[in-house]
Amino acid sequence: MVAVERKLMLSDMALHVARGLLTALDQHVAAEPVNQIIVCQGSFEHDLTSSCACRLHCELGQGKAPFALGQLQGASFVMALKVAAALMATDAQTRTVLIVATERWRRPFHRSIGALTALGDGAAAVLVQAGAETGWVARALTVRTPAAPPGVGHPLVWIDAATLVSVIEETCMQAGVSPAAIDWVLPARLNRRLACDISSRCGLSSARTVLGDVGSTGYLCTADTPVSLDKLLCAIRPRAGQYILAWSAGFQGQVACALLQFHGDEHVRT
Amino acid sequence: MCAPKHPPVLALSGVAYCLPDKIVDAHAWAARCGQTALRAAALRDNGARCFHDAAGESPADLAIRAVRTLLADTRVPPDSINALVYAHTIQSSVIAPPASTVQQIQFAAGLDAVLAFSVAQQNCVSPFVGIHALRALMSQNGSITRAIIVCADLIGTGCDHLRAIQNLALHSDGACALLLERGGTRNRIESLYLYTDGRFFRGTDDDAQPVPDDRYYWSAFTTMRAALRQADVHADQITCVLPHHVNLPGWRRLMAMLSIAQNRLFTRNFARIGHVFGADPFINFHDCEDKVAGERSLLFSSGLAGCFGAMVVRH
Repeated sequence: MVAVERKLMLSDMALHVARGLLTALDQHVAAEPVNQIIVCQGSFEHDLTSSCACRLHCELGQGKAPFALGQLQGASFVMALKVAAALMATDAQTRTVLIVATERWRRPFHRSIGALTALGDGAAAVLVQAGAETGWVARALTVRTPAAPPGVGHPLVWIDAATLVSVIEETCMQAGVSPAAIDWVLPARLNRRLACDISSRCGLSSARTVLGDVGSTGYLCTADTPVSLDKLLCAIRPRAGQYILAWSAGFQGQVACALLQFHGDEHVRT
Repeated sequence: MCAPKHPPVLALSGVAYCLPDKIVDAHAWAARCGQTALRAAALRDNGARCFHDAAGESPADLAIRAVRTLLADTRVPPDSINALVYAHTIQSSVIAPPASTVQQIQFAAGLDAVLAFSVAQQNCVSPFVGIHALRALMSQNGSITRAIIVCADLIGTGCDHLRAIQNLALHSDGACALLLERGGTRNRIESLYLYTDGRFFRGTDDDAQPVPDDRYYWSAFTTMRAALRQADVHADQITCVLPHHVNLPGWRRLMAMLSIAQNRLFTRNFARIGHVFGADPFINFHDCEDKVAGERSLLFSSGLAGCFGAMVVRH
């Protein structure tokens, strides 16, 4: 079973989640204006000349020239986080970045990715702020995009488990955190067996690995990580210092890992 | 709070482009698409005489050729490249998952160790956005010293009738690859400015025609003026304006607005190659022979959805 959006277009979905997030935040904190919008999508807008990023920019009335990042499938979201962090670090005028990941699969795309997974429709929005004193702080972000799978041949779908393990270890090392100390592990909801295998190989606690229910939505590709993150954040009450490790993977070896640490004592539920 | 880091000085160290061999004249295009000879004549009057037709080649094919040519021309070893960005205008210039066009380019060009991703939705300004994003990433990651941005787009065979932008330009299929290096001394990027007029996010109207922009000249002018100000240079210090190949008569007006002498507009490629999506200013950068060391060029592009971008390069 996969989630299928029949009414809304891709950019309608993006706008819906972006507005929902900004409205919810407005109720809790004095929201800063969004300075930059970044869209992640692997599927197409039905209207081929329409720009989802430019639509968000127009309808939300905020931000500098918006753009989309892609071609890394599930790993696109962490790549967008990396670019957002880099833009905030180099431009004093960029303090708040809205990342919106959205997918709506229509022909010519197939929903099935071999025996690995099936693609569902979904969207999620995340607001990233520079210098925030409370909330989830990105301690380390790693993305790697190998050109070819190990060994002979070049299959159409290959999840590079070895590179994934090394990226997770590298991310933990960068932040000076032992994998065993991670409080919640969010794997890509591609395949339960893969998620368990990666946790085991990295020394991540299997009890703290949040496997989720991919059977109800299908794999949400670029939106997978932020949707999983949203579900987790709605279900927990974190304490200062606790960690979330989220990893994701593209279908052709791309891998990404984000290590987030909770700061402060107030957890704003959106 | 940490003070923002200065973005690294980047040099546009090399450019290579690839255009399909097949060239189609404006009149031949009008005939094959059921357009009038009058329209073909109007296109020619506005400097749009022909275009290159990929005739079945894919954007990835064109991109791979451009990247390989760039590597060969610059004699830069593939293993010294740390990042690859594919910047595209047309949504469907990428292949469907599980495949990835970026991965296809990366593999074919032997760029085994790069961080590869795509930027889009700024249409023909997407290569400028690619530079903007890379410059920020390079400031965060000292190990990225060399990067390639490649843009590749084409008009699919089913959309041939949509090649014309009003009577102002003909889209041409092609690709262009840029080599960016940290800290180079020649062809330094002194400024880069992006502007988006959100009113035009749909790009085209119900007949798939570009929506007329009543503020086009003002938006184009202010984007270029902002790039000049960011670089702290006066218009008279610009020796070459490297334009996108759309609306040649309109460029005369923009040059007057900028107070830059008309003979500094590089016009050779308007009629020769057509509008190669985001590649135009960079193709012109490659072909312009008036790049004197120490002098500056102004590069500009605009695209559907109200996107504008400009940058100043010091040679």
